[in-house]
Formats: sequence, C-alpha cells, structure tokens
Amino acid sequence: MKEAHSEIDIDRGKCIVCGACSAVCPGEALIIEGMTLRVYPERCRPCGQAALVCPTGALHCPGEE
Amino acid sequence: MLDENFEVVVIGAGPAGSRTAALTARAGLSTLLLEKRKKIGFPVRCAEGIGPREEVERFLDLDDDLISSTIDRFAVVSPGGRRFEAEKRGIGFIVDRELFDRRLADLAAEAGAEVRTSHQVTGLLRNDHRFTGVEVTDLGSGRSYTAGALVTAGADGVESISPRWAGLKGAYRPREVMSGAQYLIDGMETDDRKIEFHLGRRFAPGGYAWVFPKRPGTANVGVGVNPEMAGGLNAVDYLERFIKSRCPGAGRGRLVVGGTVVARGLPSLAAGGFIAVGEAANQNNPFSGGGIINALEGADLAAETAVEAIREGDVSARSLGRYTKKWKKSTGRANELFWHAARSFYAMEDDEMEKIIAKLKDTPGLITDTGVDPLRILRVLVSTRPGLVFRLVPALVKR
Repeated sequence: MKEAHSEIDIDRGKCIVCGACSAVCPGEALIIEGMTLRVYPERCRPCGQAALVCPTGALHCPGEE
Repeated sequence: MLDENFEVVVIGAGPAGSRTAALTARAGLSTLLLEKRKKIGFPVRCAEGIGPREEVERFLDLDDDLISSTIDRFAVVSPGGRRFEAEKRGIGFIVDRELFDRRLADLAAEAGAEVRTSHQVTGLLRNDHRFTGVEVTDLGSGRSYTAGALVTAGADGVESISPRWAGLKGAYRPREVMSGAQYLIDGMETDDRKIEFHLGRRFAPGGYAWVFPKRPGTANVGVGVNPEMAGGLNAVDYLERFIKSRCPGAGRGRLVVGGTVVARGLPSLAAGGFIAVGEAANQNNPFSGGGIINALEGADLAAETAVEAIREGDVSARSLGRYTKKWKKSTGRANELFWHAARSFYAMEDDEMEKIIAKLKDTPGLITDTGVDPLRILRVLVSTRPGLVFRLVPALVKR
C-alpha cells in the first residue's frame, strides 16, 4: 500500500484524506482532490510539517525530525 | 471568455459555505455552491459537539433527527484525575453532522443556489483589480471550466487553499492545527446527557480528550493534540491510550480523524472580490476547536456584506472589508481572548494545569448561557502568572 513520491511516503491504508497535512504544507504539495490526497512532489519544500500533523501516522515527508 | 457567470460563487459546502450560499441566493443573487466531495457531509470530520440549541436555531430550525443527544452536564477531568462536574440544562447538544451539513446544503438549494458536488476548485481568476471567479474541475467527467463571480467566498475548511491564493493567510504552522482522532464507541459506560473533557499530557498534550455521547452507551470518544507537543506520537496513538483507560474493551465503530484550525484570527477576511468564511477564515474557537456556530455567524456577516457590496456595485477589498470589521466586533473579539487563553493554558505542565483547573472550578460565572466566558479564564490565568497581563492588555483594551 506504500507509495513513494520522491521522498513523500503515504500509507494509503492509513490515510483518511482528512486534509490536516494540506493545511500546513507551505508548498501546496499535498492537495485534497475530491476524495483522495494528491501529491505534487515537485512542490515539496521540504519542511516535514505535514508528517507532524498527520493524525494517523500515514504520512512521511522530507524534513521530518 | 468565461464559461459561466454568477454573482456569487461559494467554495465548499460545509456549514459556512452552505449558509453563505443560502443567504446570497435568498437575497436574489445568482449563486453557485461548489463541493469537491461526492456527497455533502460525508465523511464526517467532527466530534459533533455544539453549544446551546437556541444558538443554532438563530440560524436554522433543528429537526429532532439532527440531534443525537442533549447535554445537561459536563465533567472536566484534570491531569491528576480530579473531576470537576457541573450541571447546566441544555448547555449544548451532539449533532448528527452528516445530516446537519446536508440540511444546510438543501436550504441553499431551496433558496435557489446551484449546488454541484464532485466539483473541485483548482484556482482563482483575477484581473488587475480583484478576484473574478474560479477555475473548476468536474471530477466526474474530468472537464474543466471557469465560473465568473462578483464575489467568491472561500469556505473550504481546514485544508482550504483559496484564502491562501487570495493572500489572506499562509500555510498553518503545525501548532495552529489541532490533530484529532476519534472512534464511535459502543457499549461503554456513559451518561448520555454528559460530556467529558480530559486534560493533561498523558492523553492529549496541548489539547484535550473528549467523550461526547450520541445515545445511551454510545459516544464519540476522541483526542485532539498539538502536533508540536506530541513527542513523535500521532493522534491515533493518544486515542488508543485514552480508550484503554476510559473504555477498555468497548466496541469500536467508525474512526474519524482530522485537523482543526486553532489559529489566531486573520487580520483581514476580505480581498477584492473575495471573502473567507468559517474554518478557512480561522473562525473556530481557538480554545475548544468548536466551529459550527461561529461558521454560521461568519456566514451571516459575510453574506450580508457581499449582498450590500454587490448592490452598491463595489466589491473592492475596502468595501468587502466591512465584513472583517463586523466579525472582529462580534465573535472575533471573543476568539482573540480565547486564543490568548488557549496559548497559555494548553502549554502548561500538568501540575500547573492542575492548579488552574482547581481555581476555575471555584470561579463564579465561568459558564454562561452560551458557553465559557473567556475573560474569566484569562483572569484565573493571570492570577497565577501575573506576567501574562502585559501580553493581554492590548487584547483587552482594543476594539
């Protein structure tokens, strides 16, 4: 179920498409489109903030501590 | 050339968007309401607790099927496990959020708004002076089109990007988005007229854990944590810990997760041809995370201003800026106080929080008819941390 976009990893089994990551991603690399989370890896800064707010631990992105 | 033209386009059919669309349509303005999800109100991303029923009925009639349970009591459990219980009839209710959102969208449609689901806004249109509408993709057919608008209202919730496109806000910092997780729990011991808030680092660092009863034996049991204080764990990890303590062995229904904006109010809610409403506009209460009544209130002010501005033929930032002023004079002012209170309160270590809760317990007038009085919370906070007063003075004297 793992999916890698350069270094952004989303576990689609855990992702519930809540949008918390999208709210903090400064580059608009994570966008909720309809009922899915679309990833635009080329826009990733990277800052790691999206992984920090993910409620389910589904997301790992570069810059994470 | 635009594919379509409306007087008002609203992005997002949650409470803020649907209410805005209902009011502009009712005022006779051609209104398009766009929702990216397939089904309005689904999936639910909410703990479903709201304030007093009469507060919501200022905006719409509530049929009984929208109300899961009425709340007459609440308990606050301190980090050390001490309980502070109080009774206040009808202090709030637990809403069926899916039905609630659908009801609000139906009201918009009945008022004449055109409602389109599975239609995603992908950008704002602009000319030299103002925003002039939206670019949309119909996710069903894949077709993209443009819809012009005199006023575009961004009500796209926590993940909202439209107010960012309009320059009203940037991306949130992690601490501005409470990370939440909740199970619908069956077969647990609850008082179906009582809500519970559990504080402290063990279950909810920087936030709180809750039990919101839906019906006898069944409740939304959840946690909201400040991601910057979560020590590498996520909201679901804390939820597991809370459930193990509060209702081990109970049955689990749907898992709800999501972020809640608990950021400070925005300096401006309007740009030329654009207004932001609801959670997208940081209108949630930053102390509780609650946002439904605030969203409805924000929508009323936004729609009223949009209607006036369009009738006057002036949708400039200055003209729509009247909405910002109205908001700051009403709920925005309380929210500023709540934001200060939240910033101090939730950052506390458990032992200090313990003392504050003991003091709050003996504070007369803390609970009002509409909820909690932020000034009383601040007063108690200042009494233990006198230094706070300097930070608070501007908030208390301003406006």
